[in-house]
This record gives sequence, C-alpha cells and structure tokens, in this order.
Amino acid sequence: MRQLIELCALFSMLLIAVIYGRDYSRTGTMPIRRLPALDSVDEAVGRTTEMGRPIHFTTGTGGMVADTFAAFAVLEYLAKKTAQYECALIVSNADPVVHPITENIVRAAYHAQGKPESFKPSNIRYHSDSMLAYVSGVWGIMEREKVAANIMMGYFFAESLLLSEGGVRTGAFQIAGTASTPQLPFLVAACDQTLIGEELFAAGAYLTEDPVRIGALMAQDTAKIASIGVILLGALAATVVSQI
Amino acid sequence: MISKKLANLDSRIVYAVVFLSILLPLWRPLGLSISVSDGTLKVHGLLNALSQDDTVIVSPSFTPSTEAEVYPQMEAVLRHLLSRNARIAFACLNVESQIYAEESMAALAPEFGYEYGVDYVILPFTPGMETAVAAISNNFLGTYPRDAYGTPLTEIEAVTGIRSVSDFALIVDFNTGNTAIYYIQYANPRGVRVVAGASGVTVPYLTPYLATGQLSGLIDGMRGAAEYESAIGYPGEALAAMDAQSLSHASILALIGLGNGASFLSKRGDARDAEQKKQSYGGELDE
Amino acid sequence: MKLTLASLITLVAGITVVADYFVAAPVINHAASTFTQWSVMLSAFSTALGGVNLLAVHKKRLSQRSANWGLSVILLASMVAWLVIGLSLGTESSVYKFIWDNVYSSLSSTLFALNAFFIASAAYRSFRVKGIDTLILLVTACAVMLGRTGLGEAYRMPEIADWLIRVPNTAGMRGITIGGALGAISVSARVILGLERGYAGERRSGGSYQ
Repeated sequence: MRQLIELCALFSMLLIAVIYGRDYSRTGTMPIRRLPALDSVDEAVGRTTEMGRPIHFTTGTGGMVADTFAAFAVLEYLAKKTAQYECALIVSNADPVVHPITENIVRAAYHAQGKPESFKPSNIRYHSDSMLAYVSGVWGIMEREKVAANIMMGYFFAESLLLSEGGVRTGAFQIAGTASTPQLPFLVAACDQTLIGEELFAAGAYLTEDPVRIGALMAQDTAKIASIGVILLGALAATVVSQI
Repeated sequence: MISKKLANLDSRIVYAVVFLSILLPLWRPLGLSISVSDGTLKVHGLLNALSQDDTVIVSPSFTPSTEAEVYPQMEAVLRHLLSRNARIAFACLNVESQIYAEESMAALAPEFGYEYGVDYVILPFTPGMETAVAAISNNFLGTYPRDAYGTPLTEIEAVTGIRSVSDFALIVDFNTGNTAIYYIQYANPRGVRVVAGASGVTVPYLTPYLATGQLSGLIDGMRGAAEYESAIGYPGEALAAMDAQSLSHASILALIGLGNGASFLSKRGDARDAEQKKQSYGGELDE
Repeated sequence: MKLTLASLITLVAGITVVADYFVAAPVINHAASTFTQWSVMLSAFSTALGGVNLLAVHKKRLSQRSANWGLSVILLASMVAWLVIGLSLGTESSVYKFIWDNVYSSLSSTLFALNAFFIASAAYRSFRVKGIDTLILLVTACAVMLGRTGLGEAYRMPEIADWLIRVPNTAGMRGITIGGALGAISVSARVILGLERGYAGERRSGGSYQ
C-alpha cells in the first residue's frame, strides 16, 4: 500500500512537471523567486574579468549524486560566461568519473560561444579521490593562481570548511551551494553567498530558463506543499489520538 | 581604536588561542567529569541484550581524518560486543575500513579469546558506498562470496546461518558521512536494526532518524565515545581527550564573546564619531 | 549515436532499479540486483581510472618541466612506491603499516584537524549579533558547545544541548532533508529519462538539447 502511494506520488510529480513545463513554454513567465547566490555568479565573473584573475569551480567529493548533476547546470552557465568574457576558469575535481564530464561541459560551452581555442584542458584538474589530497590541491590552486572567485556547488563532506577558509585567506569572493545538511552551517559561515538545500536544484532552471527544468522545479515545489499538508495532518491526527 | 583591532583580530591569534587551549589540558589534565546521556545508555542497553547467538555487522566507515573522534567509539563498542560474546562481521565500505577492523581486533581479540573465522570475520572492501550498502542489503552472500583473505564465506563459522542481511541482529555503523543513512534506507526496511556512531558534525543530521525509530541508537562524537567508555567502565582515549575538547570549546566561546563585544564597542565609537562630525559640519553651515 | 546509446542504457538501468522498489517480479528484482552489482564493479574501476589519470597528468607535467614539476616527481614516486609495497608485501606487512600509521594517517588527521582552527576563525568572524535571528543563533550555538563539554555539567547544559538538537534542530533538518530529497528525485528523474544531458556536454535551449 505504501509503495502504491509512493508510486502515485512519483507519477503525479512527473505529470505536474510536464504540465508546468508546457505552461512555461507557452507563457514564458518565470515563477522562480530571486536567488541572490545565483545572481552573484555574474558578479563573480565580472570581478574576475576586471581583476584579470581566474575563477575557480569545484563540485566536492560527493561523486555522481543528484547534487553534482545540479552543479553541472551551474558549471554550464559559468563556462558560457567565462568563454564570453574571456576570463580563465579552473575546475577542480575529486572524482575520476566527474572529471571527464566537467571537461566535456566546459569544452562544449567554449565551442558554443565560438571560442574553442580558448578552452584549456589543463584547467580542468583531477586532484585525488582522497578528500584531503584534493583539498591540498585546491589550496595550491587558490594560492598560486590567486583566484578572484571560488564557486563550490555539489555535495561536500568535511572539505567544505577547509576549502572555504582557503578562499577567505586568499580574499576570493565565494559562492557555495549544497544539499549536504551537515556542511551547510560551515558554508553559510564562511562564504559570501550560499544556496541552501533545494535552492541548488533550482539553479539549472534559474540560470537557463529551460521549460523542462522549470516544470521539474514546479513539481518539486508542489510535492513540498503536499508534504507540508501531510505532515500537518499527521501531527494533528497524532495529537488527537494521543488525547483520546 | 583598540575595539576595531579586536573586532578584526588576526586569524593567527585565534589559531594560537585554540592551539593552546587544546594542548594545555593534554599536558595537565583538568579531570572534568561527564555524565552519561540517555542516548548513550540506550545504545548500551541494546548491545547488552545481545548474546553469543547473535551476529552483528560492524561497519568502520570512517577515514584517518576523523579517526580521533570515531575510533574510540568503535573501540568501546567492540569491547562491549566482545564481552557479550556476539559474533562480528566487519563490513568494509572504505579503503581504510579493513585496516581499522584488523587493528582493533588485533588489540581486543586476545583479551576476550576471540578467534578469526570462528568468532569474527572481516569482509572485503566493497566500493561504491551507497551501491555497496544496497548490494549488501539486497544480496548479502552474492556481494560477499569470500572474506577479505579469500576464504569462502560458507567455510567461516562466524557467519554460519547468515543468508541475508535480515539474519543479523544489529548493524553498528561508525561514520562521518552518509553510510548510516544508506543502512537505514536499504537494510533497516529488511528488519535489521541500525545503530550509528557518528562524528559531532554528523549527529544533527542523523537525529531525525533517531526520532522516527529508523535509527535505534546514536553515539555522539567524542563526548559519546567518552560516555560509552564510562558506561562500560573502561576509561580510554575519549575520556582523556574530553578536557581538551572542553577547554577548546570554552576558548572559542570566549573568542566569539570578544568579537561581539569589540564589534559593539567599535560600532558605538563609529556612531559617536559620525555624530560629532555631523555636529561640527552643522556648526560650520550655520556660520 | 554514442549519446543516444548512453541515454538508452541510463533509461533501462534507471527504470529497472526504480521498478525493483515498487514491483516484486523476480525478473526485475534479479536484473536490478545485477545492475547494482555492476555499479559496484564500475566504482572499483573508476578508482583505478583515477589513479591512471593522476599518473598521466603528472607524468606530462614532469616531461614538460611545467611549473612545480618537482612536486609531481614526489607525487609519482610516493604513489608508485606505496603501490608496489602494498601489492608485493601486502597490507598487513610492517612496512605498509608503518607508512599508513606515520604518513597517511598522520597527514590526514593533521589536515582534518585544521578544521578546528578554521571553525574558530569562521565563528569569530561570522557569529556577530546583528539582529534577533543572529542572537538566537549565537545563544543556541553556545548552549550546544557547552553541552558537549564537561564545563557545562553543573548547569544542565548537556540536557539543554540535547533538547536543542532533538527538537528545533530536527525540525529544521527534516525540512531541508525533505526539500533536498525532492530536488534529488527531480534531477534523478530527468537524468533517467534523458531530459538532463548537460553532463554529456549537450546544452539545453528552448526545451531541447543542442
């Protein structure tokens, strides 16, 4: 019975995503509230272009999880912007499977902007899947290359604070986004802007205005409202039962 | 202004204060006592109910970086499990897990007369984390046809009668990441209870699962390890390190207080200066 | 063609594993179990792939005498040395254990311990009272920190800290976890159905991939 309800909920989410996606294609109205952290990605690119220093991006040690896929959307946007403004983008990876994917994404973005010659494969770096070796590698990049902005999007473990404090020491402007709840407090404390939890999953829709992504985001929000309703009903029922 | 300097204190001074607050109690222990919380007593009670008919999965899912916090938890729990004569299967989800399993049992097995293969077994490293736990939960014997040294599991007495993950009495996962969540997701629905020993930073993340009963118990960081050592009556590394933890926490609180006080005084000073400037400019304009 | 094949494999494997949760059909359950076993093997392979990648990158830096090539020498030498020791002498040998205890374990613990200093400096910088919300943050952080020590025993701080973690923290964590999980479902569904192929370098525009 429980699994039947879950299956119905899943199909409902997919249906809502399709309906809202089609609605957005027709009307073009963007229902997403402002996310300052994503607006500041453009600010970061502008800052790095003015200062003539590189921008650094990393997806953390989470591997191929949903957060990393959400981060790919931000990387796609960032690569497009850095190609447009001809500022250097350095990507650090801690997962050998994520590494070629980020290389693909950045290469494709540079090609799409008509600047394939500006793409440098040596700027997409795999350090190690050992967390602290990866942190050491990223610190080295931040100190040697004097990055002006550090963007951390994806799933992080204990390296979140180490990386963000490394960025603070070099004076980089820092934007982070993760759904990893244990690491959120560290990122909020150390970074200039943070995407909290599901805001990371909204990034793709927010930056690309793609109908499929916007439809999926609306389905997420609808499911969240439904969850709130169920929780309230459940809390009420539990309270009534306990009183009887 | 001194308040401005204090409000923007050099990080190196902060680091020095924290370093000294950790070092001094290790050199001269304060001997602060700690009480045992209900949460730790609950885990203690669960393990106390085990017997020699029970087989437990112990999963050392931590890395050297968090060894100082989580290894004492594992040591205390293993000591308790061995005192209950429970059989143990170590599930290795990290590269380092096998080494921790070997190290801990090399120290404890002789004390309790445990023999490898008869009373405990170390299962081989299985990569993939979530997929590894899913594989263990879906098909235990298929995932582990042999132990870490190549012996077929069917020839190992310690796991006699184990056909699937449901045949285990308990899973105790020592983690600093998500492995406890994976055991809750995949193994707990199959009827096996899960207990976690977690680093302090992961505990708030796991507490909701404790509230729902998906997690049967939770050992909370270094303090949890110290409490467990007290509960089993065997003071160890964690209790010894609690003084350092206490003083370092106190120093960070003092620094936060200093920062807030300095920031407040600095802002008041700035407001006073701005008022004075406004008044002097206002006087000049009047003239 | 390659991307279409990759999307097809993703679709079949993804739908099978999801269906395994909902359906008790032996064919689907067996297939899902097989796919899960395969993914374990792929994870092992990707670890090896990472090692090969590191070797290739640093060998190139060494041969081109790039900046800091000396560090690449140290990395390659230590990587190869430990690999040879592990494979030839085994992980139970005294040499392996010596390197483990005195190099790898010590370095990892040292770097991780930097978190203690960094959280102190981050807390010093950012735990400033600017309003009622930051005041609540500060008070609860202080209560939980004191509750984790022996200093707060006399003032029932452990019980207060325990209540803060069990009640308000759990409420907040549940909210963020549910939101994050729904986001993960959304992204995963798009990846499985081939609607999210940015990872393959394709860019979405106007609802389709280019």
